Amino acid sequence: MADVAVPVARSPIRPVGGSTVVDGWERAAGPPRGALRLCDLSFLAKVQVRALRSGTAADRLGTGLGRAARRSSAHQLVIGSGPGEWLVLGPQGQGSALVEELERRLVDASGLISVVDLTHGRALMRLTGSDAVRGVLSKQCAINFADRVVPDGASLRSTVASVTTDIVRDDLGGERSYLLHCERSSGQYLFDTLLDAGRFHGIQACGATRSDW
Amino acid sequence: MSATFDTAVGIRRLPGQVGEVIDRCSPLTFTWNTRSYQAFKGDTIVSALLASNVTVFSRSFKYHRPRGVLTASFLDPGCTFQVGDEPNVRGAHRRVEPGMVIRAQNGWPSLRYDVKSVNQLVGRFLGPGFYYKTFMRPERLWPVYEQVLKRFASGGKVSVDSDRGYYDKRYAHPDVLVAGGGPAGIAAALSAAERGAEVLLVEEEYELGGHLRWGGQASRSALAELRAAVAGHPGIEVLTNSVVTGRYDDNWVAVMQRRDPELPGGGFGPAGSPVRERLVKARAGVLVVAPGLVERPYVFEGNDRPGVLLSTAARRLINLWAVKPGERAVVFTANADGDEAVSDLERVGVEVAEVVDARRGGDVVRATGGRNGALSAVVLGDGTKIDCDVLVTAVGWTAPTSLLNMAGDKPVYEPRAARFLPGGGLPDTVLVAGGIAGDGSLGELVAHARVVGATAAARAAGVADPAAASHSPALRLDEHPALFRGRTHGMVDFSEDVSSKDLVAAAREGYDSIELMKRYTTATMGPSQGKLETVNAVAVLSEVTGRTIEETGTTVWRPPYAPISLGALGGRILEPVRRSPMQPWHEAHGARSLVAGQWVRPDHYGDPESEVLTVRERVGIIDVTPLGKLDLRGPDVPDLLNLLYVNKWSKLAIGGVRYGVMCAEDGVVLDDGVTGRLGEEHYVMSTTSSGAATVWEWVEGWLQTEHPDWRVHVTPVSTAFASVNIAGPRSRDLLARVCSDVDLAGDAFPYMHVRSGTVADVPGCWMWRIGFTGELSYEVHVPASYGLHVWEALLIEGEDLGVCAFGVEAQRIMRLEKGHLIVGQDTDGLTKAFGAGLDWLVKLDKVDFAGKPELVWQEREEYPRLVGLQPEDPAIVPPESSLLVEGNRIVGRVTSSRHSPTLRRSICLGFLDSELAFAGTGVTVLLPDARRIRARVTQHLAHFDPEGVHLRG
Repeated sequence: MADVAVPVARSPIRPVGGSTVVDGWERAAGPPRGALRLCDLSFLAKVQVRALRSGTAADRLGTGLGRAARRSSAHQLVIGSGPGEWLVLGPQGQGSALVEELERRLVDASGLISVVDLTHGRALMRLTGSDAVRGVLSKQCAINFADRVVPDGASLRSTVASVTTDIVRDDLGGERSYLLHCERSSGQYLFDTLLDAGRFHGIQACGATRSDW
Repeated sequence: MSATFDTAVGIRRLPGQVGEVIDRCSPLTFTWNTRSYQAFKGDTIVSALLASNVTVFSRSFKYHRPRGVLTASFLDPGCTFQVGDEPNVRGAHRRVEPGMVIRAQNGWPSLRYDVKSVNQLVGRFLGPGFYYKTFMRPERLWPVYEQVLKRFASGGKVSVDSDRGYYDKRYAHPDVLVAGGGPAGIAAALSAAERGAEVLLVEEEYELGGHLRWGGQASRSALAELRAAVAGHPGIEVLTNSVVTGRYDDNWVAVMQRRDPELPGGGFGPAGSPVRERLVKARAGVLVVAPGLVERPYVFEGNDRPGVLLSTAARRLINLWAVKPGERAVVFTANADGDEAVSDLERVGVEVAEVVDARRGGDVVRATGGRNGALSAVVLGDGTKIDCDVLVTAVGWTAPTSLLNMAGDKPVYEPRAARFLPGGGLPDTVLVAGGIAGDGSLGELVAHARVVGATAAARAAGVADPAAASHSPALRLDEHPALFRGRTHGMVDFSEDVSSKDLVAAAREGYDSIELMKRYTTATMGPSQGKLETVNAVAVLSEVTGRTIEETGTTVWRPPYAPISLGALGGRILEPVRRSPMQPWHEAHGARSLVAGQWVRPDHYGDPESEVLTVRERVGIIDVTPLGKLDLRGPDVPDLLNLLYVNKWSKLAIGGVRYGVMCAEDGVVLDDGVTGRLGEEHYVMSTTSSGAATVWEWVEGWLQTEHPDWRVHVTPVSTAFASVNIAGPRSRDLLARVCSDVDLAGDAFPYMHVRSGTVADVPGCWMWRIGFTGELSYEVHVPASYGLHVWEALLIEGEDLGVCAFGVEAQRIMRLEKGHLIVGQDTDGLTKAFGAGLDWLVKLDKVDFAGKPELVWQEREEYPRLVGLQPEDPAIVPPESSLLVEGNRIVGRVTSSRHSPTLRRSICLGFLDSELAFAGTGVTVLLPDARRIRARVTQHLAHFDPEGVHLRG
């Protein structure tokens, strides 16, 4: 081969405020700032699990439709994203390992089990801030984001700015925060649209930090 | 400063009024019909003009009569202006801003000398139905009539260069939405919020308070308390200068929020917000309707002259904007508000020449005018004529029941109060408060509204209804004289120029139902949408028919309650676009983009024909990421494939790839693509780019509804992989330079097979040996995050091979050369598989598949067939959709056509009637410019390499 560069994985979302390569992934370098922040987390491992909606697999995954649960020991967030469908988020670069671990964990569960690595096929972003977050989302999504309807730990699938999106309420240290997950090719559009919706709320695009995950 | 402007800003401007909303320390200048005027911050356009003694603001719709202020509110029919490039601005509501350029509408050449006012002279011929009767015949002249009538149409002008503005949208989910921010609305909102409800309080005016704003000291004190309570309650969101425009099923409530120049960001957020209007789509737990009452005009001769105005208008002008309505007034009153208007007028120095009390039998018969059409005298019922420049009327109220109608209620007329009241047909989630519910003192109205608010909060929360237990205090109903039309005829619909005489004529012509009369005369169909005129129209009709108002009924009020701009309805333009990982490279290298579906794709990089030749002679790469890709897993995938495709799938070996076509149940071609088998129970199905979502739904639909027993999981992975097609005789050489763990030799990796491997150091890639272009080619699918890396690696590695990037246009040329159809272009909504030339693929001996019954039938029938076409003149490329004709009979059409750089001639595909669809048949192509050329049917669909020598490399 000629002098071809070492592979660099790139997010569907163009880095804002400069970029840096972290363990083979190009990531936004901008520091977190502002009371209302939007950061790209597409570099996280994203694995989809399909199984019977109730039974061994559902029990072992530890959460059901409409809820998200953290497995702190493995730095995983398991999201009940659809009937008989889960999305498992894990640390950057752990996609294959996560697939293997999930297949091992669910090997003897009843019914057809499929585990598909979607790390490169989805965009993932986090919108964090105070009540202004609701203001931003209310411009793009018809869902009622009141605490009693979408409390911390709730997940749902809706359209945000006409893009099918999984939304997970995942507060950070008591601060209101949402993960938004959509198919990859619409990631830049969704990111830009959220920035536009938040421009009069003082939204800032920034890089992700450890605390965002 | 204030003292200086106190006099400079207008000869009708009064000294400071206690409740005025103008800021005398903030003068401003604006332009009205090219002249400069001064105003104070807080003035409306009309209050500012009136203060400067401008009393005529527009010409009426049909007769071009001069019009002045009537209601001094949003509804004022004579105060609609062109402001800059914004037409139809409600000037009695819109606050004037520095530098505003305001022009009168509907007057030519000027407001003062309006040529079209000649219509008044021929008014007797412009009665109801004039247009219908006059311009029906001869029909051929309608285009001429239309052009002439357009010139008489009223309204402002929209320039094509107008700033499009920033129109926003948001969703809201209040527990309680209160429509109306008067004392009752505020009280209901407070009460609901005190019980924990999230409340959205919507007020049409710029401030909360309703009629308390122009009331006396007691009213102002009460208002101050209510406003302070609202401001102090975090559970209440207040939208002023906003209006509830409609209530739909399940309390879906549309709120139009307009810009308020005096609020930070216009009321839309931080300073600098450019938002002009916002449509709030609210799903309210409970809707409280508290719009107050609308004062009703009195119908008599000359009632539309400038100078004739409602009591609320007079009081608003005096108390809110410190404007003196005139110098000498007659007041025609039937209620306490009229009496209060007398007090206000006298207090500010207007000579009240006569108070005509309707409660004691008084009446006004005629308003006469001077040369400019404005009021100069009033003739009373006893024949007395009184000189004056102001006539104030206070004859009663209309309950704006629109939202109640929209909620399913049918309001009923109450003769005792001479107005309509809720009919008892409201759902539990819609409540009423304030004047629309009944009468009472301020304290009684507030107390009632508080119970309504508490009830609303309880119902929204789904808890026991406290009002039912505590017996909510019912509001009383005060007696009011029924005053609609006097003994003379006058204007009923001020917006549409429909008089009571017109209504009488219409009724006598047989339009004696209020709904028919409305449509025939256009009464209630103008910008005020019935709020001022509906009840008067009903009353006039009941006079003619002898029926009571209850028996006559009203027209149905439908959304919107108030006008909504098209910009607000459009809102933010949310049109998702999709991008491949390589799109930045395409843009950086001069690609001309096209949007296909939602995908932004490179059409070409400057010379698509050159791109074709490079692929045919050397090698090229194209970004085909948008191709649909479905990951199929499970033991029953072969059954699924056999069901959905028209061909057979049971024996596809691991590593094999097969082309398939899907038909809908009517046999019409739905999509096509290849499916490969990656493992024992693992397949990947590809679809067309535009068909990806449809096919996914199609597959899931069959699995979830017809075969939930099948063990198959489908995952869309279209964008999980960036896809690059490497095509051309040197494609194998190029791929070999970036892939070392797959044997690419022709016999090891033959045509229509798939392999997994590493490409440019990226593991987990799929390589399909297929060829849409007709050349030896490999479709490489790489984990999408590495798409750009692999793309750039291929270009670097292939530089000495002469590699080029090619776009969609080059691909379309090459697939046409090869005779490969595109579903949706070479098929349409009627094209079944046989018609598309897919006979070789359809296996009717399969037990079943989607569309089989229809295809069994089609096989026996005659049907147009897809054929290759070769124009006799190789230089002529018939445009796509050109007709194929035989004499005057249409026998087909061209579906695809291009100039082939490979063959150096034009090439086409087209549909042709079956009796002509044989190789060598000559057909005539009718070009769009009416020329006819000859073409002949070719042996194969493929114009290039029909034997597939190139393809199989």
